Amino acid sequence: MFTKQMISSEIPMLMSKACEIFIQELTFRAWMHAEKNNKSIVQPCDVAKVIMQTDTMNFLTEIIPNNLGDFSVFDAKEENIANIAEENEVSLSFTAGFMGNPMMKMDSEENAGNIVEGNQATLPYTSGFMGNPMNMMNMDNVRMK
Amino acid sequence: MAGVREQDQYMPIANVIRIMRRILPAHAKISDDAKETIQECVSEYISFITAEANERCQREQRKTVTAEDVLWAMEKLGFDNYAHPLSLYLHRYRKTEGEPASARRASASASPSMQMHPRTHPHSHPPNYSHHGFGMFDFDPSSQGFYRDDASSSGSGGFVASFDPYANIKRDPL
Repeated sequence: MFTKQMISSEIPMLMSKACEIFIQELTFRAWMHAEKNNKSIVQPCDVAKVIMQTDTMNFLTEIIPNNLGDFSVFDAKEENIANIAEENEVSLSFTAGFMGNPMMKMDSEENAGNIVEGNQATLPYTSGFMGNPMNMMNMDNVRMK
Repeated sequence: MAGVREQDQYMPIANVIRIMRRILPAHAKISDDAKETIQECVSEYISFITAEANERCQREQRKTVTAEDVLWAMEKLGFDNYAHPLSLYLHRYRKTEGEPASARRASASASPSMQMHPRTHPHSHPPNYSHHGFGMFDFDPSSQGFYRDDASSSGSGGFVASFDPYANIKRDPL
């Protein structure tokens, strides 16, 4: 069944860097979910929410059930908190930056598509996300030129 | 190989945790279950990307999977945001190949995984490496951004950038 395949010596180095970016993107997005609910502890349900809401992470959906017993309950809870969070958007300057983050708006497939397209351009709210791994990569591009 | 041991199935969790902490503010905590979840996710990510790269390699009847196959697989699977900076990373890596690279190649033949050249400070090897030649996605470029954010926000800014100079050395074998 398995044919003998060799790999270039550059692949371990390349995959290591790719994994770092992947871990940090997943972690940071999960952290944003945790903060959205005024929690300072990242939980598996935060990670699961990211996986459900991010198209490129769909290949991970089979991993979620093992770590989520109460996901449906959490989902209902988060919906209420999201409504409250939107009302606070005007008054809280710090969280205002998060409100502009596309993850907060990906409630439907249509929104997700629009936001994904929007991510291709430089959007003003991303200036507040220096810690965002995707933004960090953009900065590295600029620096390398 | 008879049976896959758990420690061979996943990336080492201590390394995963260290990478996670680098992106989070100091006051953030990660539950143990979340650590395991992300450990499983990144291990699945490796299989996902490399399986696609291998498939392309076999379709073209080649015996060696190349870095280009991996980058192509990322683009095909929706990780084009990764493929572009990694392509630049790869090119800079190739430019810095020389004596240290041959040393890495020698160690790669001895062990299944390649050891990155150790460095204690980004500027300690100016003749051999361009600035940000390694660890170009670490926190250096965004440090100022973090501080700026802290200044502009009322209450807790929270984000603290920390640079781990040993992030790229002594990785556990795959």
